[in-house]
Amino acid sequence: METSRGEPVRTPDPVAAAGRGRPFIASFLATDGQPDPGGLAANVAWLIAAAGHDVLLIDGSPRTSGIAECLSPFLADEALAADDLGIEIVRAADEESELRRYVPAGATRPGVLDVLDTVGARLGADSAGAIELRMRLLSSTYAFVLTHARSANPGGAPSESVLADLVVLCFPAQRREIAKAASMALEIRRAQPVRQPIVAVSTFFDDSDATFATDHAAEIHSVMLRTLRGGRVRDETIEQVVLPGAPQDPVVAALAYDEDRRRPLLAAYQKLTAAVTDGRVRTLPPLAESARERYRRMVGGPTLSESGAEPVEIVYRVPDRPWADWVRSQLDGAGLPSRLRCYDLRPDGTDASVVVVVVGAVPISAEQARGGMETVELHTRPEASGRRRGGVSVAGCHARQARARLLAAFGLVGAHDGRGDRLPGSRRGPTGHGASVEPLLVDRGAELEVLRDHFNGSASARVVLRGPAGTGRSTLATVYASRFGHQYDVVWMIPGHDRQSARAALEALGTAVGAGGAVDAATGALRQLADDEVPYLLIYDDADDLSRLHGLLPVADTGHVMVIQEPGSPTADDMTVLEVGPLQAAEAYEALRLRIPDLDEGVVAAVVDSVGTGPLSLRVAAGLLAAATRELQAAGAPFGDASRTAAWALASQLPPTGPRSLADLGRVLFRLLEESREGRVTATLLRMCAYLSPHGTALSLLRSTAWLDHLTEAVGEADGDVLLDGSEIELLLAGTVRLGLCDIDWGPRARLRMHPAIPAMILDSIEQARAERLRRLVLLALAAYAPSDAEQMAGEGRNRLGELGRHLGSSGALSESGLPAVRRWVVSQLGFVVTTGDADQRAAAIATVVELRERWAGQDDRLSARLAQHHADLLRSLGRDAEAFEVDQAALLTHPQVGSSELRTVMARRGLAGDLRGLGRFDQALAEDRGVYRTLRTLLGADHRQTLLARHNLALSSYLAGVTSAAMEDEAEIYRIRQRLYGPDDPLTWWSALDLGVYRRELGDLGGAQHILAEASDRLRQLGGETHQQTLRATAELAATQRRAGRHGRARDLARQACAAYERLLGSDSLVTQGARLGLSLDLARTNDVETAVIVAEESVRAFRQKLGSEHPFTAVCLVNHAAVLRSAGRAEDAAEAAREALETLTSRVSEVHPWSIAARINLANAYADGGRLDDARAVDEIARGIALEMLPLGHHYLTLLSGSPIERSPQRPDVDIEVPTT
Amino acid sequence: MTGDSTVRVSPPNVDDTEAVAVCAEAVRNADRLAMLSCCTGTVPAFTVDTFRARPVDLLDSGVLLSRNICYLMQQAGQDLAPARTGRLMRMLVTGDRGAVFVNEILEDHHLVGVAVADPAHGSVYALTRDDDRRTAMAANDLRGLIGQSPVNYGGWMSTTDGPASTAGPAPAPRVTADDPRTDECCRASLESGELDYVAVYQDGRLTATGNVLRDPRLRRFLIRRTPAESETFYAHFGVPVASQVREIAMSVHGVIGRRIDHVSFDVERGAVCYRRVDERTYVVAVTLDQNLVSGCEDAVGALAARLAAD
Repeated sequence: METSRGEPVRTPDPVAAAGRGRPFIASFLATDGQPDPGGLAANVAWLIAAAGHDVLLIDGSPRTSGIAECLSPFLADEALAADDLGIEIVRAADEESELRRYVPAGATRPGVLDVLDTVGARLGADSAGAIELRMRLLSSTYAFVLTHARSANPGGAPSESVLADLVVLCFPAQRREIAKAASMALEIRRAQPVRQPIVAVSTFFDDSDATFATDHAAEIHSVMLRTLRGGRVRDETIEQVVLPGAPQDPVVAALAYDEDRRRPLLAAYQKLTAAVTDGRVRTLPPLAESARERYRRMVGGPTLSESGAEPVEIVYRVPDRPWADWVRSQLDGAGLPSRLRCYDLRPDGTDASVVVVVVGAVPISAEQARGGMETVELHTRPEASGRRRGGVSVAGCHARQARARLLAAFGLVGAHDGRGDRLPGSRRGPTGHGASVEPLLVDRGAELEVLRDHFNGSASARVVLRGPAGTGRSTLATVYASRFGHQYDVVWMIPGHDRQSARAALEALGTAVGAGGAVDAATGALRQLADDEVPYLLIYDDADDLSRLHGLLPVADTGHVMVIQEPGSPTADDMTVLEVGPLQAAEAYEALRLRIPDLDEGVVAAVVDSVGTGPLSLRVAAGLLAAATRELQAAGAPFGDASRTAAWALASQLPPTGPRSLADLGRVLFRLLEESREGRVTATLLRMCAYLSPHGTALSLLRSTAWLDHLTEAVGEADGDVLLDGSEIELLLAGTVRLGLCDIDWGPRARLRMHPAIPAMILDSIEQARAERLRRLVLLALAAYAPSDAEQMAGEGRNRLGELGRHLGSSGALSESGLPAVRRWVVSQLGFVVTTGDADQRAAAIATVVELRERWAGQDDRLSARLAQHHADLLRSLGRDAEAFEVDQAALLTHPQVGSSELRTVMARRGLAGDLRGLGRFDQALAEDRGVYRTLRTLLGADHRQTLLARHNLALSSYLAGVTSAAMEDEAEIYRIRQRLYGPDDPLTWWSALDLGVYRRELGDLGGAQHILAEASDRLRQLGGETHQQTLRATAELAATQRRAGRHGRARDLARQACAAYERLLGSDSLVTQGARLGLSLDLARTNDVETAVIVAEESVRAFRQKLGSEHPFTAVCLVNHAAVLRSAGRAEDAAEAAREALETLTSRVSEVHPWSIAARINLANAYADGGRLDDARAVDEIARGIALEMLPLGHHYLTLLSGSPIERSPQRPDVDIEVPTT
Repeated sequence: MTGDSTVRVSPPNVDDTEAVAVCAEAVRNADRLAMLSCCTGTVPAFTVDTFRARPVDLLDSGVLLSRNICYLMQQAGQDLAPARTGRLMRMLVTGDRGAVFVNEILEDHHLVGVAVADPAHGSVYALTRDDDRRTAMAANDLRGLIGQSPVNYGGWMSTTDGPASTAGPAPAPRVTADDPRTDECCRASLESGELDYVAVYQDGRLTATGNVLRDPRLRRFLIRRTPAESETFYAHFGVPVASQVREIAMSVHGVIGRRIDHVSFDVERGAVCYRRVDERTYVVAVTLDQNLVSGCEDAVGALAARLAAD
């Protein structure tokens, strides 16, 4: 038992319980010349506790006494609550007081030593108070209570004389102090209602000369007696103890000193302890020599590690390995070497002289202590600590407290190096196990030990758990993760059967570790784990083909990785293989008993004999046995008979010889289910679930009307009425778990999972035609669960599509071409990937689409048209714009609803416009986007989500095509509509605001741009966080706006900030990052860091050339900026070359009247002028001015520049820059 | 295909051969009409052109131009709707190298014509007037193919024997201008009877305005609009016209040049015309009488020329 605060309940001291039935109280008093009697009281208390008695020492010293210092290595608990110790009244005397608990190390069965520090308050300060206090102390369960006060009350009798059964009077063996002590003794005698014994303890007693010592002792005694006689007290008896040496040494004498060398001192303590305990502790308690050694080194000798101390042996059962590791870590931190011994694997005795026995989940009953062996029991569970006297309980402790308790038992408190540690069972960071840990797991001691030994002590390690399906590899990994999860900041289970699932799990991990904003959240998660250098464990389940996971395994030499594979699967060089086979017979027995506890030995053996020791077979067998037994019990048979009968029936239905497969078991199970109506419905549910992903199905799907309607149809009329009450599905689901075929995580994201081998087992129990009928019903149920097209167009039903995506493969939906509803779902699902999938998922979806388009080639309908549209969307999303363009064009020719109001055709055209933007054909994109927007506005209205998206695209195309004023007008209207419809909490509102800010800036409205960009930046930061890509874009656009306003220092700071964040989020290869870096280069150039600016700009131009090609307009835009940087570096000729190349490209790709072309001309003219080519400069400038006057609005930045002085008269005319856009 | 090697039809396999024949005929017979494109929404259903026979094959640019100009015309139609003078049924855009004509055949169906002219041979506006007329005729022919009566695009079908107004003598124009010369020019234009409203803008600012909207003879054209309301509407409409013209220029510059000299927004009852005076100055003029649209277009040109001469 424990208190609510995790403190052990003290069992009554046997002496207190069996002896007088009340504590014996002794008070330590001292003359004011006594340096500090605290150490003396502490030593006596320690000895009493070491002898097995519980002691309370009340420290009433007005200043810090030697008690705390003397006992500090044994301090197990600070600030112990006193509520349950029977001394609450004492404690109530002063709220400031503190109760601490110490453990005498080295003693065989020590009692507790509690110290109540009153922080100088004198308990029972007068006689009445002392009597009341005495009454309270007598009601406590301690065997002995010692009080310690500095001195008596001045001018009167000390109240302790009333309080105590015995008074210990301490004084230095000096004449004046002896006289004072004698006077105190007299006062005590006079004050005592009954004559309690007084023990006079002379300290600093010189025993170097035996004769002198004898005389001196006699003289002290004589003085005391004379004084008492002079005081006319009737009882003049007084016991005398002389204490050689200085008692203020803050050590426990019994541990610190050899009996041979300090015999007089130890003898004095023995005599004093006997007196204080009223003769109940007459001899010094036996102490382990190992404890003495440790203590001596602790208080002044060499450190334990230097001295090569004998290792402590830590003995544990398999489930308690985490605690054993923890103990080892603590002892190591305190400099004490140790070793582990798993009792299950090595039950033989030990030759170690110091042993820690971990008493936790499974008791160690056979571990016997040898004589002289120091044994510390570590109780990790509350129920265990209450049963025994002694030992260390760490149940319910926080880490620091647990460490103190353990080290106190070794007298090593204070010796620990302070390294951080984690208690088993504590959880530090995000955990994504997949399935919740099943409680009914058999410990596979040998495997777990090997696994742990491999991982323990190494910051990075990779292990393959290799074995046939159904041998419990995943369970083993799950148990490991659960048991040692406290060692990790992150524990994550990653399905490895396909790349998309692995990515999805890693993306979820990315979100959990704060890398969710990265463009590739999956690899971002792995990168972040490596960068943060946190301990983590990733489990790749069912990862037979590691090539599928290329790039999705953690960074080398970081973290712990487990990979679960079938035999024969290739592994990586840095992976250690651990073979996992069937259970041992004993483990198999235990596995069955865990599921059906009351099975007798014979039945267990019979079942194991029938089905073998494969964990999955045993699990199914247990479910089958339990179901059959319940049936028989329902018919009146007692459990024993029923289970025996069921086991016999099971054995008789399995093949008589040879290996019994899981399918054999399945057939027996489903035969049993077919015998009852509920069983038949359950069987149908299981069979339908067999077509779902074994890696989990949301219960929300299984509870949906779509699913239940089709389940009812599958069950048929006769049994279907079971499902008329929809809540029956809950019973059915629970039944599947009882049968051992499914696991259900009933948490907030409730899911049903099957072992991957179970679906095949289930489907093996049914004939082909029936199986096909069920599959079609499953497909129809899934299709019915999918959101409608209208819902999707409105952005709804995304969660359902997210769920349905898991079941595309297992249900066979991709190969179904006869059910229009299923085809519609498949098309929707592929469209969903466009908006939610990552690069890998999109690439995989493209392959699927290509295959489907071939298969559906004869079905020239709307679904095929939609599929083509998604095909192009997927290609475009991967930057494959040219291919997307081809697909879109072909689709528009195949489905020529050109110019009509056919919504899908309009969508296809929207895709085409996207392709064209990506290819840098902005004028064509603009024509497409204009048509799309106009049609959607006519069909759906200006406020519709799709219309707003189309208008946003139109604004972008207008901007890219050089019609910035139209872009601004459209985006301003979108922003206004979004504000009205969605309000300021919708990120899309601020996405629109960002673009509006950019267009305002480009038209010369710097104030308006700054205002809206700053607001968007703040809002996006609130909504998406600091590292969200749109937040970063806001920062980059603010930098560009500051740059345009000539505030280059501020621009540089913002640009640096954006670049650093982009590099972290998107990587340095990203053109978004490179675009931002180009902006930074301009700021660097204008803040006199020209050299760096040139390097950065060149790198950006190179990146754009490489990714988009030299002919792309964006590359030309980079060159315009590059020219500006080169000119700042005084490289006029190079600047002219860059500007000329930019102008050529822009003229051919976006026309000479495009603002970017005008910008290129301005920079070219500037470069010519700098290089002394004034005629060329004038000619270029003249053309630029002519175009600008016709094409640019009043107030435009370029127009202002060009309308100034002739270029030959303005040599310092600034260059212009262009923020590199994105499509 | 028409059989005439200089006239190309795209795409070559158009079902509506009669419509194609109408357009091909128009292109063949016009001097400078290089392209006619029949658009549904903003997508050309077919195009006939002679670009291939010219120094530069501008078909792609012409098709793109068609698509954009249809959109811009629809946008302009929305902007003009508050004037309550009927649908925008024709647009004329004259650049420094040619002109574009857009005629609404039916709602959402347009015929776009492109004429290319060499400014060395004279005023591009003047050189392309006949192409404008022929395009309007082709548009009416296309309407006829679908049983629709002709429309008086550009006032080309106007006759002088229409009903005369009996509302009495014309009042003097109301003109305000920053300088007397502009005042005089505007007043003279209004007094000619071909313009009902004029405004001059310089650097985005209205510098002169005048109208005869209170002329009782114009009351029949002002439906649910007072003269003052119309005056205010056109004054405001004239400001963003510069921006609209730049937007148009971005869409047509590749074919007809980047300098846009003239734009007509020809509605069912009259027209609003933009005319460039110089880089900083333009005129906006209005006629409310559809019969006078062609004359209005000429008159605004004359006004611009007078202002430019100063």
